[in-house]
Amino acid sequence: LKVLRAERDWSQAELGGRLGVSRQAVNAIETGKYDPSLPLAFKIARLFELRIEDVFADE
Amino acid sequence: MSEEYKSQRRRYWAIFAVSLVIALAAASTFVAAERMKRDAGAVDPLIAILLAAVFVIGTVIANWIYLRSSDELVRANNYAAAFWGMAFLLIAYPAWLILWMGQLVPEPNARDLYLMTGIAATVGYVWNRFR
Repeated sequence: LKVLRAERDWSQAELGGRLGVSRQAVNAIETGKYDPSLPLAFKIARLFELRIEDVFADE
Repeated sequence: MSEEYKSQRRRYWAIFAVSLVIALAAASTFVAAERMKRDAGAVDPLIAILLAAVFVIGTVIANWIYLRSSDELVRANNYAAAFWGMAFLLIAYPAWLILWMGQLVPEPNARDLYLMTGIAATVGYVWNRFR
């Protein structure tokens, strides 16, 4: 997510704004402290025009 | 940044401020009542009804709006805090009761349990929020 965000030159706050979540939420997802819900994961994937599995890897 | 998000943030801070005021008012009432007299009769009945109504209605509405206008991370942190508080109460009360039955400690006290449950929930929130 961090890479995708950097490619578009968006800040965490900007990405949060586009997703309707806080900057802290974006940061928590990027640092792996929080796993987004399925609706938010779909929203993120749609925003970057990718599939969910292209954004989030199964670890 | 979208307008929807900005308005959500404004609402978030407004609710936070209102919740803080309610919490401070509740804490002040609690401390004042404790200092004046620990038992029933410390507050006039009419004022007691009014204070209780303001506290219950204010807290329920503020929490409902707060959780509605929060994002899923904040909600997750609050659910975790609620779990910590509940787990603490479910474990602490029976343990205290058993120790009291063995005449090792004073009888379980609702106010102390309430306070400790609040502390446990706060610790849970802080742990989830800042770990």
